[in-house]
Amino acid sequence: MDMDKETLFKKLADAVIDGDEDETARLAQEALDTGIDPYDAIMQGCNKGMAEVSDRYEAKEMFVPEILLSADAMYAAIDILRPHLKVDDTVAKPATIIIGVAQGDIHDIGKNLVKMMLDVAGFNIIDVGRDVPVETFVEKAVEHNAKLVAISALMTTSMMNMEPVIEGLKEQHSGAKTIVGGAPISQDFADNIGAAGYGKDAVAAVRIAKKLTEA
Amino acid sequence: MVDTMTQKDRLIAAIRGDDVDITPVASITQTGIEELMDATGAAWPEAHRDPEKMTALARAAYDIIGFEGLRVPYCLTVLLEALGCEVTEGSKTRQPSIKSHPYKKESENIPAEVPDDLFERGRIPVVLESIRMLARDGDGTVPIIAGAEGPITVASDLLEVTTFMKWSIKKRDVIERYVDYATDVVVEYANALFDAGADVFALLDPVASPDLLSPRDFERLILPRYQDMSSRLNGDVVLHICGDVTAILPQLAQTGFAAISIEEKTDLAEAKRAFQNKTRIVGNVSTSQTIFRGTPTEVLDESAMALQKGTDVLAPGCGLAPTSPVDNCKAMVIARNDYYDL
Ligand SMILES: [Zn+2]
Repeated sequence: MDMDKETLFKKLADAVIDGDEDETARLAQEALDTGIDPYDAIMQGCNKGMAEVSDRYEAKEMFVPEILLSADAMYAAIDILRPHLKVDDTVAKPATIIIGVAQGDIHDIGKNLVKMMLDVAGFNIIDVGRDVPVETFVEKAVEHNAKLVAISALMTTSMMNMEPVIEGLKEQHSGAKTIVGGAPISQDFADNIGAAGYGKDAVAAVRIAKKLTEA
Repeated sequence: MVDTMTQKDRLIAAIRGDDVDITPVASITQTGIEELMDATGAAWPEAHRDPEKMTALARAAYDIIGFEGLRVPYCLTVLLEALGCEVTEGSKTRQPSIKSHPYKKESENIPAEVPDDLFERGRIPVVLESIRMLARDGDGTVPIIAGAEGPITVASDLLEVTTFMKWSIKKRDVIERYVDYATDVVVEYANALFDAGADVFALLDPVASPDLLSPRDFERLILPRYQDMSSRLNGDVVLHICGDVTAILPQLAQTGFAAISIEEKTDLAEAKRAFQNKTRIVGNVSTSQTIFRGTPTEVLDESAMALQKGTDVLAPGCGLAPTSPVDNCKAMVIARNDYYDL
């Protein structure tokens, strides 16, 4: 009955990878019941599992459907663990990132993946949704003093609404950098419109976000 | 005689893999751009709802750019709107987009039959009327290309894409039924487009991209539906899937469709090798980069490259971004003409 800590973390990570939310919820509760530090359970269980999911996604061994189930499984555990975190675990002020889908585009699945992975990576995420007007990106960046604005587009016809966001930020909140991503986007395109970074996929986006916010 | 080919005969021959005099230059993806709207007075968003304006804007891409085809409509929402999705109006430079999903979270409520009044719903009558006008008022030598969203895109937007993705694992049988329904709807709609006078059906299925679904899902969930569609559609089909489709090239060779439209993220020479002439290639000048923000010279170079690599139809890789310059589009036509010393 009394599972040791390491075994529980490993099981939690595996259940995240398998996308089994009933199992992750059960293990999270078990962690609490046996007096395991919820912070350790999140970091060494949930996040470790999600990191493996990221690796497999990058290696094209896992795809969007599996990742969405893994995310649900991870949040099922985190929702149980988070209320029990000690206060000093949460005082660190992470960088704020505004994330949304370019205006004219309702395809938010890529955005949701990046959002989830940025969340796991410890950023403070403000999700402004899909089909987001240029002004909203800029207003939210100002309002939350964002370090980074992440914009995705799945269609050629909507990617042109990225550059005006970058222009607007230059004028109104020059402290924020912009990263872009989505099917039609390329590094060349990102360079041309003056984005600070391009995320080829969700994992790359997190890597770039870390790099840009550390600088 | 090959040297007297009409543009229509040429495009059809090119996508079927028959002999052509020269490679056609046309767009199977959306062609509504701002300069054409200004030149004709047929602008978005009205051109999405008014058959006369829809028709005038299609003609402008032929008259002004020189694309060898008449292509309607300008969005991926006509069929979805007819099936119950709410759609935003968009603006002059923004396409209409899907606002709501009629079957969200209602797993047991899959519609079984294609609605009887489908062709009277939403903007379907507008598109049909526009095709009839294009067919009636022309001399029959210019191909009419009609596009619509494909079954995976339809199914995922009826249900909402995140749910669709999760259920593709958790409730596979439900997803199979949604995709079957969507397949039936697209087949009926496409055949109505052919009946109205379309020569080529552009099947646009961005959600089928390997950026979202695995090659295994493409093989098991998607390919059988495409093969079924190709046997039930009464005309020539070009399938367009967004993004890098390198991972599913072997499957794309087996759809039974006349041709596959690819973006620049997929190498044309590699696609050519994978297809072995089982299906033809339409593409793949970059709409996100070269046509949208490049110079005419860059478009000339990229077009020449596509022709050298053996594209069967020189075409934009995806829908034209609405603020793309007309001169960049014209450069594709010039590149094709230069290639043949015309
Ligand atoms: Zn595309």
